[in-house]
Amino acid sequence: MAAALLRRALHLHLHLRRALPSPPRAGALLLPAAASSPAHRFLSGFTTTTQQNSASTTTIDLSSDESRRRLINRLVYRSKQRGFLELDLVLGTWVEQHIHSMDEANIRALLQVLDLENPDLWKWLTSQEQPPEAVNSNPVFIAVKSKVTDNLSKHSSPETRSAPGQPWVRGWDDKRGIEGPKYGNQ
Amino acid sequence: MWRGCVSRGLRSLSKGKGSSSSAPVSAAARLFSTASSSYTVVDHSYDAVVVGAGGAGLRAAIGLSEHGFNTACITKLFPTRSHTVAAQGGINAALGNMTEDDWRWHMYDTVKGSDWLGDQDSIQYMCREAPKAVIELENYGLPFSRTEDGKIYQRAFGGQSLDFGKGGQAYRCACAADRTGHAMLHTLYGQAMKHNTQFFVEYFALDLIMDSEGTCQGVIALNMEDGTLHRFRATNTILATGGYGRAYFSATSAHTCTGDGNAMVARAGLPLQDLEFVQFHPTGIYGAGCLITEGSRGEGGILRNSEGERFMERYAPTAKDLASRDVVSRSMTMEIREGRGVGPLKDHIYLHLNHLPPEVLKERLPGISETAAIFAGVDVTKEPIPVLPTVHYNMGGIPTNYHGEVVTMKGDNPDSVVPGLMAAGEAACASVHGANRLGANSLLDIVVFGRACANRVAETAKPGEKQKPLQKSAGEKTIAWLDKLRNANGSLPTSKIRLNMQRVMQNNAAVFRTQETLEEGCKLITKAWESYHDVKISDRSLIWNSDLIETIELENLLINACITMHSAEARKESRGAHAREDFTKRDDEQWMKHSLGYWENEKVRLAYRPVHMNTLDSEVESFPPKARVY
Repeated sequence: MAAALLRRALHLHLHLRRALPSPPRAGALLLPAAASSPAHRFLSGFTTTTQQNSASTTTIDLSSDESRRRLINRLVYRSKQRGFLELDLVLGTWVEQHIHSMDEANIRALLQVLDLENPDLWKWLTSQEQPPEAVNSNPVFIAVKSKVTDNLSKHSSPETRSAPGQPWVRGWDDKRGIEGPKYGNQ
Repeated sequence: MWRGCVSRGLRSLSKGKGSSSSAPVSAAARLFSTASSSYTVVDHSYDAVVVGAGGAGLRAAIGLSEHGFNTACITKLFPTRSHTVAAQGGINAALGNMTEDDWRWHMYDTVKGSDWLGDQDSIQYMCREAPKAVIELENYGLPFSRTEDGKIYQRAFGGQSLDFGKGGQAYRCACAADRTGHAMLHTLYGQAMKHNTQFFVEYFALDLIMDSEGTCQGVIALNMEDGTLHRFRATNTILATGGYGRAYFSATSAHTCTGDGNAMVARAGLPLQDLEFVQFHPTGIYGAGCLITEGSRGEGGILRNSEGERFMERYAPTAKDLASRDVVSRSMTMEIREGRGVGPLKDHIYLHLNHLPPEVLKERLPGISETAAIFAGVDVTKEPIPVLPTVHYNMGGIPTNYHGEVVTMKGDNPDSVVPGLMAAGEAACASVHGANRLGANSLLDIVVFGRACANRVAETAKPGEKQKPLQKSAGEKTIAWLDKLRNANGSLPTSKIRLNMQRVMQNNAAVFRTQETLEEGCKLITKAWESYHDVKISDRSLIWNSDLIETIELENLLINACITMHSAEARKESRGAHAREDFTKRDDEQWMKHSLGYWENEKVRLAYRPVHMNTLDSEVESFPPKARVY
C-alpha cells in the first residue's frame, strides 16, 4: 500500500480545475410583486486567479530534526487553521495523526491538498461534487476521503444518505415563496 | 505580572527617517536582549497597517491602496483561510432586485434586531451604504448569482421585512450561490494584489505600539516562520481580527477566531464594548461545533433530555421544538443546568431523528446523517445526535464610531477618538448589531466598515506623511512578556487551561443567565485567568512554535472571556442575546447604554457609554424603542 501510494505520487501532475457547480434546483421562486416568476441562476464558472500556491514554493527539508519539526508544525498549523470549521476538524485531525510518518512525496501531496479551496475541498471530500482527476488521484486526498467514507459507512445508513452529487441542506431555502424561510436564517 | 519585567530598551529609529509613498522602508534588523535570549527586531514604516486579512481587513487594504496609501497587511493566516470563507448565506443590501425595497426598512429591521442597543447613526450609515458597497463588490468581479433578467439574486432571511415591519418578507440577501464569503475573500484578495498591498503572511500580531500620549503608532508582530520580531510603524492601524468564538466550548467559528485584536486593545488600556452579547445557534454538534440546521426540527426532529422527555413541550407548549432559536437554546441550557443533560458530564442534549422516515432524511435533509456520522460518530437511524447551544457570532468588540475610528471615554466625552487606531468587522463594535445581529448583516458590516476605515484615513491623513519616531522603549514590554511566556515552566498545559475556560464560559455565560450562574462564572473565570500563570510551554523555539502561538491565543481568549463574564453579570436586564431569567424585561431607563470592559492589572473594570439614538441627517428619523416579544 505504501509502495503503491509512493509510485502514484511520483507520477502525480496536478492540474487544478474548478469543478463546475451543480445545476440550479428545479422550480421557480414565487415573488409577491412580480407578474412572472423569474428563476435564479447560480454561480457560473468562477475561475479563481488568487489561489494560494504554497505547494510550488515550499521547501521540503527533512534532513534534520529541527527542519522536520518546523515543517511539521507549519503544515499542522495550516491544516487545522482552514478558517472553515469542518475542514479544521477533518483535515486537521487527519494530518495531526499521519504527518509524522509521511515521506517527502506524501508531504508534497499534502501541500497540494492544502492549496485547494475550502468550499470545493469540503464538497469533494463529502461527495457533494465530483473532484477533478488530479485531485482524485492525490494520495493524501484519497486517504482523507477514505477516512470520511469509512465514517459514513460505519455510522450512517445508506438509505438516509444523500445521493452523490446532491448538495447538502442549507440554512435557507430559495424555493420558498411569499411566506419566506420557515426556519429563519443561519 | 507577565508584563512587570522590563529589560534593556530598544534603540529608536534613525532620526529624520520618514515613510515614502514609493516603497516600504525597512530598517536593518536590531537585537533586543532579555536576561535569557536575544531577539531580532526588524522595523518597518508604512502609511497604514491592517491587522487581519479576512473580509474587513482586505476591504480596508484595498481602499487604502486605492487612495494611494502605502499599506501593510499582517495576517496569521493566508488571506483566503480567514473565517469569512465560511459565511455562506449572503450579504444584505436593499437593492430592490426581487421586490421593492428601501434602505430605511433595512435600517428599521437592524435597529429592531439589535433590541435598540445599536447606535442608530452607525446603523443608518451601514444600511444606506449597503447598496453602494455591494455594487462595488460586483464591479470588483464578485460573481453574484443572477436572476433571469441579470440582476443580482437576493434571498430571504428571517427578520427582514418591508415597510418598517408592516409589508411582509424582504428579499435582501445578495449571494454567490452558497459560498458568498469565499467569493468575497477571493475577489477582495485579487483586488488587493492588483493594488500592491504588502502582505505579511503567517505573522502573528502581538500588541499595539502606543505612545505616551495615547496615540497608536503601529503594532509589533512575530514572524512565525523565522522567529523575528517586527515593529510596524504607521499613521493608522486598522484591526480586523474577527471574533472570539473559541472562548466557548461549542462554537461554529474556525479555530483561528481567538479575539487577538480585542485583546491587543484591552492590553493597551482601552475598553471592549458589549462583550456580553453573544449569539447562539441551538443545535451545534457536541465537541465539534458544526451546525445541524433547524430544518431538522422543522421536519420533525425532537430534543430529549436524559430522562427521555421531550422537554420543549414544557417550555413552549404550542411551538415545542419549533420555538424560536433563543427559546430553544435557553430551554436546552436549563435542562443541562438542572442536571438532566446527557452524556458522562451531563452537559449536552439529544436531538432525535430516528423516528423520521429515511427518505425524509435523504431528500429533505441531505447531509444531516452524514454530518452526524462524520462529526458525532452516530447513525441517526439508531442513535440521537448530541447537540448543545453553539456560539455563532460576537456582537461586542472594539468600540468604534461609524467611521471605524476606535473611541474611548475621555473626561466627559464618551466618544473620544483614539488617534491612529481603527477597527472593522466582527472584531469591531460600531455598534450596528447591538444586542443581537440581524442575519446576513455580518458580511455587510465587514465590507461597509472596512471601506469606511479607508475612506476616513483618506480624509484625515495623506500618503507619505512624516511620522513621529517610535519611542526607544516601543515594544519592549511585549518582547519581555513574549520571552517570559516562551520559557513558562508551570504545571498546566495550554490545552487544559483552555478547556477549563471554555467549559466555564459554556456553563455560566451561554444562553441561560442568572445572578447565581454569572456570579459563579465571574469567580471561575477569574480562577481560570489565575491558572494561566501556571502555564507550561514545552517548546522553546521561536520558529513555528505552535505551543507558543496557542498559548498567546489562550491569553487573548481569556481576556475576552473575563470581560464577557463580568459584563454579563453586571447587566441586570434582558436584551437581545443577553437573556436573564431573573431580570426578564428590557430596561431602557437604566440599561440603554453600552457596556465598556477595561482590562486593568489583570482585573475587569466596567464603565458605560450612551447609545447613539441620533441619526446622521434628515434622510431618516431615529426609531424609538419598542418592546420586543421574545
